[in-house]
Amino acid sequence: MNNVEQLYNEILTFMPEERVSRDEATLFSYSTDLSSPPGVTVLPAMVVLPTTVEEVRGLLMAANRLKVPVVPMGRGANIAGLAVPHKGEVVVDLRLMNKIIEVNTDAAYAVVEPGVTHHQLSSEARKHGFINHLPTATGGGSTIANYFMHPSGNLSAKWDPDPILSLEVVTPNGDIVRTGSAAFGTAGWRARYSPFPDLTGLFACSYGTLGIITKAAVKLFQKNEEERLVLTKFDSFPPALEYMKRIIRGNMADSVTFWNWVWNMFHELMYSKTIKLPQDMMKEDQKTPPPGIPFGIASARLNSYKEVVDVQEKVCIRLAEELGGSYMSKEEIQALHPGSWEYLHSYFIEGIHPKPGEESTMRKAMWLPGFLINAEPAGILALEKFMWEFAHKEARPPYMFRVLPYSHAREFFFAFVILITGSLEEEREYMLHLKSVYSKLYHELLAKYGAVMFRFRQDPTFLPLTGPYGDLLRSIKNVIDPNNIMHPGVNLF
Amino acid sequence: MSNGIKLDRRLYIFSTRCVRCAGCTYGYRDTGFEVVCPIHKKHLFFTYSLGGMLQISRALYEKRAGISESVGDVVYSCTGCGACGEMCAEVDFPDIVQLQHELRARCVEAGQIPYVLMATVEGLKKEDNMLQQPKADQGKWAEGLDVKDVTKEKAEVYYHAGCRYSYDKELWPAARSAVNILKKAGVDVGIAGKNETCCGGRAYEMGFQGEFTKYAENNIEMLKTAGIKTVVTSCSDGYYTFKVLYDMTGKKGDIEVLHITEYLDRLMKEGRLKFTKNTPLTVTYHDPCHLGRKVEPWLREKGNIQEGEVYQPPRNILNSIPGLKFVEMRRIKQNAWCCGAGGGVYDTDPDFALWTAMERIEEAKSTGAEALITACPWCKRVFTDAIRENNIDLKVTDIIELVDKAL
Repeated sequence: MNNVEQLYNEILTFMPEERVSRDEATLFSYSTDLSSPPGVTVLPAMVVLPTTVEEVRGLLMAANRLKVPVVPMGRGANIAGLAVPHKGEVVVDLRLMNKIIEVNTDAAYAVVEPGVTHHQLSSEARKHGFINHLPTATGGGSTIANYFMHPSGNLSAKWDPDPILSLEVVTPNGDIVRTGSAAFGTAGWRARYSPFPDLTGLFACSYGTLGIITKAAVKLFQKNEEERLVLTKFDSFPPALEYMKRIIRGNMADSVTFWNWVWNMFHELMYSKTIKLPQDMMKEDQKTPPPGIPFGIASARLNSYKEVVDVQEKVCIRLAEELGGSYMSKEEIQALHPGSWEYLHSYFIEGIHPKPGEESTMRKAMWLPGFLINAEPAGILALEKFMWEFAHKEARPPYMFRVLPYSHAREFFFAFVILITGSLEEEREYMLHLKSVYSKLYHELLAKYGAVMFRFRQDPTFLPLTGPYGDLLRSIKNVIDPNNIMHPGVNLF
Repeated sequence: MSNGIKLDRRLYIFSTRCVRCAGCTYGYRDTGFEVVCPIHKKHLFFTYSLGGMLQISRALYEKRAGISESVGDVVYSCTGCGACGEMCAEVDFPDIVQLQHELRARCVEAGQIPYVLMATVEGLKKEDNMLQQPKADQGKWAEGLDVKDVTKEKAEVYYHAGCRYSYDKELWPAARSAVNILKKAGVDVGIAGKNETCCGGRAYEMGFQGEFTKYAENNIEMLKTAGIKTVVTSCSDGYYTFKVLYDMTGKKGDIEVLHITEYLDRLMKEGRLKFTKNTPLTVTYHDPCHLGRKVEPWLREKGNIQEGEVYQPPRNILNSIPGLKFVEMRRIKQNAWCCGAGGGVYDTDPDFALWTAMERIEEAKSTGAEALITACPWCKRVFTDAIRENNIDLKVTDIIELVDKAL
C-alpha cells in the first residue's frame, strides 16, 4: 500500500466517504483554473471536504506523517493557479466550512470560516449596519483567502488594505494556533496586536504553504448615513496620481482608484449585453482616448455623516480642479460609460459584487495576463511612461491600467492588464510569450523603479532577491512544515 | 488543439474562462445567495456544478480525459434545471445548459449511459412515449371528451398533452380540464388523440439527439399537415421542446407555441375566461424550470421575450382567482429551486429526485400555504410522490385544475 492509499484509508476513519473523493471526474474538475495552459494534466491525489477544524487537523497530521503533500483551497476562485494542485497533492477544499461564526457589532468584526464568500459576508454585514472590505475579486471568492492576499477594493485607502485581525491555523504537526488577541482564549478575536510579534501577518501571502487557516476575524466598518462615489476626470496620469496622494494624505476617502479610459470601457462591457468589443478599445494608439473620452477617471468612495460627505465631496472636487482635473457627474459618466457607472456603484456604494456572469461577460474578450506591483508614487509615475513603451513593444490592443493607493501614500498598487481577444488555444503562443516577458519584467521593474511584485506568480526567482528575509522565512517554514507537505508545488520556498 | 469529444467550440472557450467561483451554485441577492443548484447541495464537491462540469469539459476537449463511467455519473447526476446559467452565463454563452446536453450526447456516443435510461429510450423507440407504456393506450386520457382530432379535422389550436399527462392516470384530470377550459372559452381546439407522440424533448436532454430529431420531425409534419398555427400544451417540458428545441434545430417554423398558462392569461385579458367561484385557499407557486430559465436564454437571444415574462402568466391567473391567497416562496422565478424530476434524474436517481423535491416542499410549507401549485406534470409527479412518502400535510395541485374549479 503506498502512502496516498494509506492516507485515504486513514482519512476514512474520521471522515465520511461522501466527502473524500478519488473519483476520476472529480480529480479532473479540480485540476485546472483560468491560468492552466491547454493540454496539461496535473491531477491531485484526492479531494477532501472537511467541515470542522478537527477534521482538518486529522488529515494534516496523517498527511504529514505519510509525507503526502496537500493544497488548501478556500473556494477555488483564482486566476493564477494558486489553488490548483500540483502533481500528487491532496486538495483540501474548505467550501463546506462556510459559517459566519460571529458578527460582533460592538467591537466591529466578524469571525468567518474559509468557505464564506464575499457575497455572503457583505450581505450579512450590511444586515447589521456594517460594511466590510470588498475586493474587486469575484463575489463567489473566499473572503479569507482573498483577504490574505492584500486585496484592493472599496476600503483600501482610509481603513488599510489588511482586513484581518486574528486567525486560527492548523499546522502540519496538528497544532491549532490562534493569533492576535485570540491567542489568549478569553480575549476574543478583536485585536491584531498583542505584546508579542505578530503572527497573523506571517500567514498573509503564504498561499497555503504554512498551514490551513480555519477561521479568521475580519474587520467590519460602520455603514454610515451617507455613502457617495465622487468621480473626477483627468487628461493624463500625473495629476491623477497627485490627486490620489492628496486624498489619501488628507484621510478623505475610504478608497480612491484611477481607471484609465480602456478600463472604463472594459467595465462597460459587463452591462453591454454584446459579445463585440467596442472598436475604440482595439485602436492602435491606446495612450490617446477617443475624442470626448477622458484619459481616465478617479473614483473616490466617501462614507460618513451626510454633512461631512458634502464637505468631503467639495474638497475632492476642489483638489481635482487645482490639479487640472474636473468633476464628473453621474449623468456624464452614464452618457460616456454607462456600464462603468453601474459597476463602480455596485462595488463601492451598494457593496455588492455583480453577478459572476456579468463579470464573466466582462472577460469575454480575453484571457487576462497582467502584472500587479506596488511602488512609491515617483516610481509609479516613471512606471507609467515605461508601461506605454513596453505595451507598444509587447502587447496588442486593448491594454489598460488602474492605480490605487493603500493606507499610506507611499504605497501605490499598479495593475496593468492585457486583454487577449482570441481563445486560449489560438493565443497560446502569445500568452506564453507574455509570461516569459513578465518573468524578466518583474526583475527589471524592481531594479529600475523599486516596484515589487504584488501577487506571487509562482516565480521561484523572486524570494532569493530578499536575502536574509528569504532565509528567515525558509527557516520558519522548516520549523512549521519540516516535511514540506504544504503546497510545495506553488514554488514559494 | 484537436477536439477530443466534438464539443461545441464556444463551450470549450467558455470553459477556459471559468474562474471556479461556484457562483453557478447559488442565487443572487434576491435569494440571500442561497444555494439553488441541487446537485451541488447534495454531492458537495465543486465537480457537481456548472463550473466543475466546465473543467471536466476542458479535460475532455483537450483529450486529457475520456468519457468514462465516472464522467458519465457526474454528467447524468444533474437535473438540468438551468439555475447555474442565471448567475454565470450572460452574453458569452446564454444557453449554457446546452453544455449538459452536449456532454450527454457525447456520453451516448461513448456508451456511458445509465442503464435505466437505455430502457426508457428503448421504450420510446417502441412505444413513442417516455413512460414505457403501450402505444395503444395513448389518447385514453381524453376518452369521453368531445374534442376534435387534428389528424382528421381542422382546428385552430392543437393541444399537446405530452407523455406524462397522457399515461399518468392521476394527472389525467388536469389534461382533461385544459381541454374543457379551452372549449368553454370558445377556442377551436383539437388533440392528436391516439396519434400523439412524444415531443422528443426529454430524449434530447438525456443525450439521445437522434431520437429527438425523429420525434421533432414527426410532430412538425403532423402540425403542418393539420394546418395548425398555434400549439398549446400544459406540459412544461413540451413547451420548452416545441418553443426552444424545435427552433434551435430549425424545425419550428412560424408555429406559435404557448404554455397553457400563457394562453389562459391571454383569454382572461380578452375577457373570454372569467372566474365565478370563490376559492378560499392559500397557495404558493413553483416555477417549473422549463417554463422559465430554460427557455429564457434562447428566446432572449432571439429578441422575442423579456427576462421574466414567462413567469408572470401563472401569477396573473392565481391573482385573479377570487378568494385565493397567493404567497411567494423565497426562491422564485429564475432562482427557483428545482423539483428534482428533470434531466431523467427521477429515473436514474429517484432518491435524489425526492430529496430535491422535499427541499422545495419544505420551502412551500414555510410560507403557510395549504397547496403547492405547479404548471408541470413532472413537477407534480415528484412532489406528489415525495409528499406521500414523507407523509406531509400539503396539497399539490395543477394550476389547470385550480382554474377549472374556479370558473
